[in-house]
Amino acid sequence: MHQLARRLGQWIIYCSVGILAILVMVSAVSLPFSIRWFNAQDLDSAIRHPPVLKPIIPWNTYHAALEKSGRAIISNRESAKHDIATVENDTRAASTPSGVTNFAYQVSSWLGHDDLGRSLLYRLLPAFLISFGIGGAAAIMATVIGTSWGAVAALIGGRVDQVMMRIVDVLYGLPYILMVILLKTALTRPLAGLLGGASRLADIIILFVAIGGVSWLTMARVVRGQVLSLKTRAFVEAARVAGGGTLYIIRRHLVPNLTGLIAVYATLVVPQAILQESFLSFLGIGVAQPTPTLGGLAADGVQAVNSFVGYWWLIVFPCGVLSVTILALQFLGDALRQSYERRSRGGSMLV
Amino acid sequence: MTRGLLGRFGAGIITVFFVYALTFLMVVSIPGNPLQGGERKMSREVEAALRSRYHMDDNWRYFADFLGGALHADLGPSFSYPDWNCNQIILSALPVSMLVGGLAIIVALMLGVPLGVVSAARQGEWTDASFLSATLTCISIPTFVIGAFLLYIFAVRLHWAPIGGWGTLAHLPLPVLTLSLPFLAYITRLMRAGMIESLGSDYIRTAIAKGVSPRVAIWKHAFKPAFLPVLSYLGPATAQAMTGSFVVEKVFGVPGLGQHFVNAALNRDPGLVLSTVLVFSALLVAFNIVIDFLYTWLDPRIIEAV
Amino acid sequence: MMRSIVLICFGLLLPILVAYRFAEREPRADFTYVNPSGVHTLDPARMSWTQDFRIALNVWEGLTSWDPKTLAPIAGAAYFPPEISSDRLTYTFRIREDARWSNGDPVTAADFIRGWRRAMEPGTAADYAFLFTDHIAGAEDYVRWRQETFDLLKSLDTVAQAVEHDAAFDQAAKDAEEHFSNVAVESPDDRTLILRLTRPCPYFIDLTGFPTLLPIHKSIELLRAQYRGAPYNRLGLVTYDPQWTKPDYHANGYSGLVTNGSYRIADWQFKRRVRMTTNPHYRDAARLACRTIDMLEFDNLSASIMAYESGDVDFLTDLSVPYEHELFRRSTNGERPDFKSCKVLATYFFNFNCVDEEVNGRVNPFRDARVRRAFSLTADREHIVNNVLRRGDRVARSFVPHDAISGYGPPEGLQRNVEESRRLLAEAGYPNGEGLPLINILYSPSDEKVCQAMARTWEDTLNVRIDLRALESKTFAAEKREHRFMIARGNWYADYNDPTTFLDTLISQNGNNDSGYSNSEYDDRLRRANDASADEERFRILQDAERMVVERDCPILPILHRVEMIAVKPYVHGIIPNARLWFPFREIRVDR
Repeated sequence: MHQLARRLGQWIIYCSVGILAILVMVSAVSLPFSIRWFNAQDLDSAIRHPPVLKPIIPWNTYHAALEKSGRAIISNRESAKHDIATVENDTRAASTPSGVTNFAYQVSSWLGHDDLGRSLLYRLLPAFLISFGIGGAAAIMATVIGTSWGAVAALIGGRVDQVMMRIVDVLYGLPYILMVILLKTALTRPLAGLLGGASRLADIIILFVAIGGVSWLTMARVVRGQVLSLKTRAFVEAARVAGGGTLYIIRRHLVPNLTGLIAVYATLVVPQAILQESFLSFLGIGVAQPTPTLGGLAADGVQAVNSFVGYWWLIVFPCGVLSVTILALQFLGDALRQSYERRSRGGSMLV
Repeated sequence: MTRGLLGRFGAGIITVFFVYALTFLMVVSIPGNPLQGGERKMSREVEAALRSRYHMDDNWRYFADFLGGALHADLGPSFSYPDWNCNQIILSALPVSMLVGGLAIIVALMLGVPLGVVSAARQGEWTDASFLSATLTCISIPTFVIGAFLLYIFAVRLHWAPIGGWGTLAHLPLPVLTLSLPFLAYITRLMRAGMIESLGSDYIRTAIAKGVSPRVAIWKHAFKPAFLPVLSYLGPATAQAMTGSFVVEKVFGVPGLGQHFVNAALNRDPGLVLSTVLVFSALLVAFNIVIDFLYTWLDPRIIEAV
Repeated sequence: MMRSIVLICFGLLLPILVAYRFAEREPRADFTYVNPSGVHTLDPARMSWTQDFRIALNVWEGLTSWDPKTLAPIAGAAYFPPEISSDRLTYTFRIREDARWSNGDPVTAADFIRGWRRAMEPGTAADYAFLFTDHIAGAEDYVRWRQETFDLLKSLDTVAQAVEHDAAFDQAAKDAEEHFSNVAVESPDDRTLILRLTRPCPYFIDLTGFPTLLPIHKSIELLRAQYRGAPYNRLGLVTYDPQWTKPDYHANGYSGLVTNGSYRIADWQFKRRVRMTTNPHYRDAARLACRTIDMLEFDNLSASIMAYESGDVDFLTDLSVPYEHELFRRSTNGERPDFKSCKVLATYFFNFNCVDEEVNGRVNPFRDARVRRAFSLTADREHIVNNVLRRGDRVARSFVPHDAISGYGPPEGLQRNVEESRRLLAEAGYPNGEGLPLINILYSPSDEKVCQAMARTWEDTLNVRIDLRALESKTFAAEKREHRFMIARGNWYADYNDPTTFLDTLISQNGNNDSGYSNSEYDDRLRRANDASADEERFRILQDAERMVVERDCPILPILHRVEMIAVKPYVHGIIPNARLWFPFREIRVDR
């Protein structure tokens, strides 16, 4: 039984890594394609389609039923004096943008379209990459700031350490969401000026700087604790007695002993940052539309299912990708932590 | 011990002051005018009059005035709600948030602790794996999706819960449940980790070897040290839960404090931003002190450390 | 241990639950509606939002009111029509004998003068103070004098100049009444109000129903700030305790808010609801069908629609959810006749930056009118209205909406003409869009769809590159005010029933002139229109001025006139969709 569960645990980790790798690869490889579509198929040409197309997935069993209800909507629309083409299928054939193979168009409707006729798949792919990038960049920022802050505090010690940690305490006392909003609004103007025209890129950078700028606190505390405990360890003392300089000790003992811990916490910051981005999107201050992010798509999707409209795919697919990504990252972080703990315990025994 | 607590209290006050100063700095430096905003602009004269009314011409004076007022429990006017002052806003919103947040923490504690203990006791088994996945799933879906889903099912479809409004018992369960999920997940994982470590310790192994039943060993002997990490997490968690969550408030229409954190910042309402931050950091410091107190009570060894 | 945790938790839980269980549940109001963005303020002088106006005009009553069907002025607290002198400058209003405040006091001319003077005072900071300074004789001089004393006292407000400050203060307090007596508003007796305008104003009667011109009950004086025995604050400003709008505020002998409309505020719970009940002293109190009205505050539009669907709410004033087009579709195909459209007097447009040479380090091509005209000629408004928004908005080619103001016919505006626009662009030195910098469009997130569609059209037809910048509202306002844009979204709601409410915003010195358009010919025409004696002539001059703007100089690009949707339960009678979203509660009847 235990064996089975352990093996299951391993499988979950393999699956997580696999899913993440596949998602990253698919979205990265398709990026030129989806961006082109995302731009070309944006509103203007897309709007000629009937506004909402259900997903057409080969294995979708309720497709027939949905098709029927879709017809009902479309025929109502006709009576609503809108010049929208007749039956769904005809329109789809007729309005396929010229120069695009039929296959590409079919692919675009695998996950359905949004109410402006944009392909959800082609929005979801870059969205994943952008969200993942924001998460990763925020994690890198948090790591760089947090590690250096914590390590410097612990290494110098004394009054400097106290002041630095007091600053961390103060920053902890600020409400997270407020700080992100203030950072984001404060950065908007200078960064937009700096990057000139690339305001979409500026938007993404502002977001991960804002999220990373508040996620480094835990990292700083953890690293400081670890460095403090390492400083008192026998092997560090031994190295010091043997005449090793501070730089030598940092290079030979501290860095190798810290990397595992940092990797674990950095992995855990990524899902946090992705979730934070989704909250900001929900508040309407995340990455500005039309740049898609997972959180932004999910936040839009929440509005798409109610008593009047039932575009379930707009919430199910973005949310699905979002939670699979976060779950995979969480499992990965947990697995890393476990292996790290096991290893470090073994290490301490050896000493 | 009293000296330790007094020291903590003093440090807490200093922290709150610096939090205030830092927030003030940020509020002053961000672009956007609190008095201008809509499509219609107010004339220069009107703006000058308002600025003088709210003492906005002199940042240092505003800084000192607000602090002085806050010491006398007067948080001053709010720009975005001219008919109300910050005291009234906080007093109307904080009790709601404290109720919802407090209940959410209680729910998270009552469910999370047993779940964590059980999965630690059955570490590596199916129960453990399923609990772990369940809690991870809770935190992998954004709260606004879960909240909207619950609202749609229980309020729109089943009519078990009211939509919007506030003041009856029926308004409580959905926001409380939604708010408690992330805390629940975290408490379960903390409890599980603590319990695994505590069950692996020598004295528990000795106790079991001597014939203490596993049930007693788990709940009586291993529980206390395993609960300590949860306890130290409870301080910041309670402060956070009790100052409200914007998402939960927006989805369920709860008139709590969380919305003011966001709206005050978006409206550039310095008085309200500073008020909410002061309330948050004061609560955080207070809860941390309470938790420290509980900690020393549960684990007297800490006193020596202090 | 676990047991003690459980006990503590339950110990905390039980009293809360018990307290809530026995909390009194109020009976439901006769009529419940939702204001999604809530009440900003209940101070009529400081209001500028439609939802605040709506409450104010139901709980107070001005000299005139508006007919909900035609929006023509009708009798309010004064008899209608007022006596107007032959030079159209002097208006004499007779206040009704049965006009009463909610505490039984008769409404007097002095109450109106109090309200108006208060709205004029710089200390009140009324958004609409210009209504007085623009129209009432002497008001501008009085306000200027008040402003000067304020500036003086402010400059003297230091420790070193305390004596000078106090002397100046006493002098100003003494002179105030004398200066105010030059404002042409007087009351020979309690029920007569005579006022004189600076120049004839055909829509002045319409303005007298506006919330900024509402009367204020005398009890507010109890809450006025005092300094050195004079009713002014230290800087010589007239300020009141901002709490005066609360029905249950009792400082300094104040007995709570007193109003003179058909309803009064019974209870105002912050961010939750406003409860209104009938004003027992209102002349038609017995005829009012709804005794209690609740205005609920929902932060979440979708939730308010859900509450409406479940029957908790009878009326929604705002349906601007992302799926609004679906609601509109159901309303037009007869499926949901309870969703109704109101053609509001508003224009949604784009501003071109006409002044700055550079924007964010790039040359601003929109200083050239030909470029503005070229961009205007390519706009595909039908596409936006019919394909993108799909909620029944009307295409706008002029700034002032068509058929909205009787007697005024706005110019035709520009038809889409891509060839002409390419030619103009080439003429301006950008053949086929070459040489144009990256164009930025500034907007707030709710304009996403329109701005994307506009950008797409321009990119396709003029071969320009466009950078879309969505900003949250305060940053957007700041960037717009500081002219850090090339193209920025604009939105203007009419304040009164006259073309000038739109056209004035393009005058050189106007504070709302976002495009920075400055043309002395245009300013001159608007001035001449003001002096014109006959309505026809006035409208003709205004039409010429507007034609100049929308067909030749193009500082703005009108896109559409908004249609706003409301939802009224079928059992609610008396709510008539209109352009001002003005729904008098006294007309409402509920037959459940």
